[in-house]
Amino acid sequence: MRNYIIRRVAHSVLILGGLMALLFFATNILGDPVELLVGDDAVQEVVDALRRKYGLDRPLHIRFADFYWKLLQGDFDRSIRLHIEARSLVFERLPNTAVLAAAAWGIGMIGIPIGMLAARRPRGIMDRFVNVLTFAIISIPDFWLALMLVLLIAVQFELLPTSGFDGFGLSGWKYIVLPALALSPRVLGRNAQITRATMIEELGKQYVATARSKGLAEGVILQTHVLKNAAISIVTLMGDELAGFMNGATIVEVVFGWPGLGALLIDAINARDLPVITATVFVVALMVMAINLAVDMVYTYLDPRIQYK
Amino acid sequence: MQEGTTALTQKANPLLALWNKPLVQAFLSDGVTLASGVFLVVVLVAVLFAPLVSPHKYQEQQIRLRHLAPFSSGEAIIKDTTARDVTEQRYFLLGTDHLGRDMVSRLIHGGRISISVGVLGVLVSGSLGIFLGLIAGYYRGKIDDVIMRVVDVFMSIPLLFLALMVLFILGPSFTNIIIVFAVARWMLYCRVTRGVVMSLREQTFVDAARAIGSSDQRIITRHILPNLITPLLTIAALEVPRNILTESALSFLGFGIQPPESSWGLMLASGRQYITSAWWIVVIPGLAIFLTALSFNLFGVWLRAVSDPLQRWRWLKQTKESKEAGITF
Repeated sequence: MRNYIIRRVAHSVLILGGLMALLFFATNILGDPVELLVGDDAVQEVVDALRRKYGLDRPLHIRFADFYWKLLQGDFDRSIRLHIEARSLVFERLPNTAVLAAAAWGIGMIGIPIGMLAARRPRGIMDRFVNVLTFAIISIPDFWLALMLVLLIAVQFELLPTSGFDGFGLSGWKYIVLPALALSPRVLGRNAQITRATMIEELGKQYVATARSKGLAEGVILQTHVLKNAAISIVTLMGDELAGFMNGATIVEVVFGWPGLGALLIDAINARDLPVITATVFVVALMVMAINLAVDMVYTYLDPRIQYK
Repeated sequence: MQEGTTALTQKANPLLALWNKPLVQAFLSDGVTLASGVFLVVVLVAVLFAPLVSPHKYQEQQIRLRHLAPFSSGEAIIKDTTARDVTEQRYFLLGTDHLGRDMVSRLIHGGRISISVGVLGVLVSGSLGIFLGLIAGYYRGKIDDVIMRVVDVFMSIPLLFLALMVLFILGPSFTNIIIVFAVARWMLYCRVTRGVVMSLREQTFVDAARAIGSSDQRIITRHILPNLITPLLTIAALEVPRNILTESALSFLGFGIQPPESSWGLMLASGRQYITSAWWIVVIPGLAIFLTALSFNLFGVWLRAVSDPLQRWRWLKQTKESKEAGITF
């Protein structure tokens, strides 16, 4: 088990290092960092001055080594736009995205009972309905759904503010409802699909037949036996969804002016702020890996049959 | 119709023979799949023959007719060089946008970009992924390790982040969006191809081909590639809607298609500030994206189900014969 963790962590570090090399290669060799910063039509003197200022006149291999050395220390340089540490900017935004994710996940839990209902009779009415429903959900453009919510709930009925952010206190809850609602359908759909698939698989197993032959009520079998076993897969598969979740979160944060990591990345790209872009990509990749690793660990704890060597 | 005549017409009429194919029967008997198939055909025809089907010119601005609600008509002014301006009564089924352009025509022309981005994206990323997957799965060893580690690296960040990075470095344009899909989606095809190839190369028919002296190239193209068509086709059918949705999101954020070109995502983005006064500018392109993506998804899932030997019977056996025989599922 310990060896497995060490190997997994080493693999993750390797991948992160590779990702950062890719980013460095893309911005320094495919593109030119100074040109990315000022655009194509800048005066040559300005370009040269900036090149000296950011040390970009040094040879490529020295810059590459410097980039990695700073990366090891967790230093991403200062934001070009805001002149504060890119790292602190990212850590400031991280909790906002995390809270939004938790709220959307909370609403998305409704998918679990829906998936259970569908699993009771495969290809029955409920199952076909859930099937079409989940595909409808993954086919909705996130930003369109967000705008529709704004149009209906915020503009038409004036129930909630159209956008903004006001901390997580008593006055702040109003602002999180719409973004969380806009993000939740995808989580809900996935949860329903995963629950349905794992429940059907579990229902085919022999212990269910044993329980039925003992004369246990179907509801008891479902709730005490099948759901417990299916829960393991449901929990673990949710971890895989985090990377995909960031796609939707980015769009929703932009639409609702929610100051999270996705909005930070979009702002940084618009401002051509390379240190912040690098820091955001690094932290998101790190989070995805950390959560996947944690989920794997939880998996072994929940299901003692699984052993990693 | 009597039995004898049916048999005769079947022979004579290839259309009728097609009609009786179990796959076609399964397609027609499933309402949801049939509806999505019909919708896709309508959209594809409209988009292919866009200049012929569009009721008006999609770029023509009639500023006096801006923000016309759906199902309304107005007088358009046609500029004439010789005489005074002539007016013409026009009908706008889905209304007009903020510059007085016809929504139907814009939707049809925007669909051209959205759908071609979806399809071309699949072709380009698919080719790249299949190529690398074939090499990794067939030759194994070091090259396999390297390719799979690169796959891991590309899989470690969200699709949208990867897409934004590519567009940040290359700048937004139609071609660069296709490049985005090549860079951001090839891993999927690569993994599937590698998996299938790894199991195929151990099988007897590949050994037999090798024993009679076939070259690697011949084994790959003649014996392995044909077996890859079905799994890859079903992935491709599900990847088209994903690409359409990603393109619309990128265009919405301002990193995708740039005006004066137009896609559904861009139409939606440019109408965003008029959402309170002219809701249809935002609602209609969004519906177009949604319905097209949904149809592709439903059709793709059906395709996957009927090409999977374990699931196929559920769909195929529900033909007239099985119903007459009293078999229900």
